[in-house]
Amino acid sequence: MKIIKKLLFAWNEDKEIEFLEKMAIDGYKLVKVQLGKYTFEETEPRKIVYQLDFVNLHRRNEDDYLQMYEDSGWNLSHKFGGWYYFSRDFDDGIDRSIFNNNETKKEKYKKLILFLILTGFPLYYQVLFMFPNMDPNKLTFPNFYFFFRIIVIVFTSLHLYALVRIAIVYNRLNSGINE
Amino acid sequence: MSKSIETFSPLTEASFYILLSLVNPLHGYGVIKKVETMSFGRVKLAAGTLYGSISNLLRNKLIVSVGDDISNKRRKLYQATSLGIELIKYELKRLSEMLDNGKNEVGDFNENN
Repeated sequence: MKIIKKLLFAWNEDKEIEFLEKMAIDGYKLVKVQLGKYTFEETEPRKIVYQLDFVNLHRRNEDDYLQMYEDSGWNLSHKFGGWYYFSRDFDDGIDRSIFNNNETKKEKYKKLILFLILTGFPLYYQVLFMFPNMDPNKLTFPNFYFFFRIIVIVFTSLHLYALVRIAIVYNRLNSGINE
Repeated sequence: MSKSIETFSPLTEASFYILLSLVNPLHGYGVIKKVETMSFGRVKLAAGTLYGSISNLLRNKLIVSVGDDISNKRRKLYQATSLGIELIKYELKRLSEMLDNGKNEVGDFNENN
């Protein structure tokens, strides 16, 4: 077992894949993903191809979803939130993509953006509605809400940053005249 | 039906072939194989696109789930609805118009100019 702490984000998916594939060449196979923490199992060094998908699945649809990946030669390495980490052994002439067209690739990022907006709603609500309508005295130093507001604003900024970065990735998928 | 056929057109190549392969009930793996055969190996459906397109077709009631595969219960069977068939026919008309126009402008694609 080898644990590596590394913070990688959805807009840096290529970097994450590169990192996982380099670990495989060094003889470490991915077995678990947590926020900023990757757990590997020692194996023979070999070339493994990784791909990440993001979906919100009903439990009753998950079997069918995973079966389609399995039938296409992919193994599920780990599931983390809505993220599914798939892997397969590399061979020449392998098609490493899990998408044929922009349409379905965009869908993945659309789901991710929707997920972020829903989870981030409490943050935006607090910044835009709760704090402005609060008794200003409550927000002065050294009251609880003084510190609370700072923390919420920091998290909201990070959240907004993540949304913008993912929106940029999404937008790039729009170019080109082919599907 | 609330949505008219034209709003789904043009289908992506993947969606068209998936819908076409579901005239008779089939599961995801069967769709991959059938589409590859129909297109003489040209269209190899990737898992994410296959699942995404099937979800979209289901949501728009162009296909329905008709039960589980007998040999593997994890595989669901899907089939095109009458709306789905109608859409295939609409697409065929559109594609045949494109084909005719293309031939008129640049000649038959089998000729070597």
